[in-house]
Amino acid sequence: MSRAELLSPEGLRIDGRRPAELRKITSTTCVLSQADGSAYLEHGNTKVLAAVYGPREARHRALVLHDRAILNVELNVAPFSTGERRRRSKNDKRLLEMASFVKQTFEPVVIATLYPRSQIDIYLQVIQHDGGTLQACINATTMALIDAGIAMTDYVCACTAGWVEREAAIDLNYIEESSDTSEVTIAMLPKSSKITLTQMESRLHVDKLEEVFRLAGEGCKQMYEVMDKTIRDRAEDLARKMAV
Amino acid sequence: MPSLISPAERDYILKGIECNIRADGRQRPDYREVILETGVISQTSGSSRVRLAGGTDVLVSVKADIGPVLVDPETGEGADKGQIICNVECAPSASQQFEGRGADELNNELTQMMTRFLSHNTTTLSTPSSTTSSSTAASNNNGAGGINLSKLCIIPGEQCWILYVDALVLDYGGNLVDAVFMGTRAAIFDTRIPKTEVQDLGDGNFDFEVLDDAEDTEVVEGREDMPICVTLNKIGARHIVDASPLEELCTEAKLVVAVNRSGELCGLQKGQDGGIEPSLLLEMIQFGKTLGQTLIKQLDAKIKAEAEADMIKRQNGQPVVKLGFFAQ
Repeated sequence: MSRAELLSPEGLRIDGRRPAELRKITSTTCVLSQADGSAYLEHGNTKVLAAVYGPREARHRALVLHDRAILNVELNVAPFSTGERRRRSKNDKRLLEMASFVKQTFEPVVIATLYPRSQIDIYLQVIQHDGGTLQACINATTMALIDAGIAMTDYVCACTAGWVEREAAIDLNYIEESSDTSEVTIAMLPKSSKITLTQMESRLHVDKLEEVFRLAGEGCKQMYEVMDKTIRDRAEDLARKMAV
Repeated sequence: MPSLISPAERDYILKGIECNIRADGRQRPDYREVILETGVISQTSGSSRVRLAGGTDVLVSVKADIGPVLVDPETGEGADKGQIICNVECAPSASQQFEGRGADELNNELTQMMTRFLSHNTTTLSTPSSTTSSSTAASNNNGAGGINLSKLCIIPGEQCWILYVDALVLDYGGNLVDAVFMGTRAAIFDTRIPKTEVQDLGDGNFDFEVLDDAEDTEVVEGREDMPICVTLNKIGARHIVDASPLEELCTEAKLVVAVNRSGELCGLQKGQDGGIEPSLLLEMIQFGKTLGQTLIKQLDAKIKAEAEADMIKRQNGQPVVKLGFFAQ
C-alpha cells in the first residue's frame, strides 16, 4: 500500500482536517459507580476512561507523607485498542513511563497539602488508541479529578502538535504519529499559560519549534473551552437537581 | 467496593432475604435491568457493552485473526478447527482492590471459566424433557459452547480463524460473571468474519485470499447456541440471583450455571467456602436453567431490536451513532 500523503496540496490532512484544527472532542463525567470521580473523553477515535479514587488511606504505610497526599497513577491499554490485537503486560515500560508523566504533570497542580497522610489514585484505561493517548489521558484525568472534588490550582489541558510535511499541525492521529513526523505533547495551565509537561520523541528543527509550541498552546486553550463547558454543564445539572 | 461488611449489615441482608426483600427492593429471583449495546468499538470484528443497572459495566471485543491451527499432540485433533482464545481483565477503575496485581486472581478465574465454557470440546448434558432441537445441538458437537469451530478453519492443517475474545470489566457492581458472558454472547452475535477464497495450487498446496468486502461477511456459525451464565448466591437457607457487592460479601456459597437456549447445561461451577445441600443444589440448578433461558430470549430480542433500528437508520441515510458512555 503506497504511503498516502499526509498533507494534500489544498492543505487538508489525511482525515480532512485543517492543520490547526482539533478532532471532535466529546466528554462526560461521572460515568462509574464505584470511583469517587470519573471522566470519559474522546479525541476523535482515541477514547480514554479516567477513574479517581481518593483521597483515601494510603496502601503502603512506608510511602505516606505527613503533610501531603501522594499521587498514584496506573495506565492500562485494552488489547483491542489498536488495529492489531496486542496484550500489554502491566509492567510495560512505555505504559509505566506515560503513567509517570501523568503523575509529574499533576503533582504541582493538585493541592496535596489539603490531604495529608492520604493517597489519591488515578486509574486510566485506554479503550481505543488513535494517536494522542497522553494528551487524552491528561485531559481525562483533569476532568476526573474535578469530578472527584479534589482541589487543584487550575485545569491541566494537553495537546499534541507536530510538523506534518510543510506545516505545523495539532492533535495528530495514529497515522500521522507513526509516520515520519515529529510530535510534541504539551500540557498547560490555561489561566497562567504555564506549561507543566513537555514531551517530544522525534527530531524537530529548532526553527520550527516556536511555531509548533505556539500552535500547541492554542490547541490547549481550545481544549480548556471544551472541558470547562462540560464541567459547568454538569455542575448546573447537579445544582438544578439538588434545588428541587 | 467495600471489602468489609459489618455484622449489622450482614444481619440486615440475611433477614431481608429470608423475607424475600433485598436491600435495593428486589425480590430473590429478580434480575437487574440489562442495558446492551453492540458494535461500540471500531477496528474489531464484533463488540458489545453490557451494563447492569447499579454499576457493573463490561466491554467485550472479538477480533478475528488468521493464524496456524493448533493440533493437540496427544489426540491429533484440531487440524480442521479454528480457535477461540478468551481473556478477561478487570480494570483498576472498577474497584479499589483491582489496583496493581490485585485483580490477577479474579482475571485468571474468569478467563479460565470462559475458556472452559466456550472453547473446550464439551458434551452437553441434555435433560430428559428436552425437545428435538436439543438433540441437533448435541450432534453439532464441535463443543466450543455451540460455536462451529470447523467453519472457522480456512485450510485444514494449516491456517484457521482465531477469535480473540477480550472482556474488560470497567465498573464493578456485583455479578461480574453473568455480565461477562452476556457481553460475550452479544459480541459474538455482532461479529462478522470476512469471507475467504481458497485456491488449490495442486500438489496438496493451498493458497487463500481474504475478501475485503465490508458488506459481504459471515456471521459466526452456532452463535445462537452460545451459553450464558447465571450466578446463584446462597445466603442463609435461600438463594438469590444477580447479587450486589454487599450481597456478594454475605454469600456462603456461589453456583455458576451455564445454560444455552435449548435448556442444556453447558457448565457448572461452585465457589466460595460454604456447602450446599444436594436438594437445594438441584433446585438452584433448575432455577438457574429456567432463568437462563428467559435471559437468553430477552437478550436476543434486544440484539435483534438494535440491529433492526440500525438497519432503518442506514436506509434513511441517518448516521448510526453508538452511545457508548454517553448513554444515561
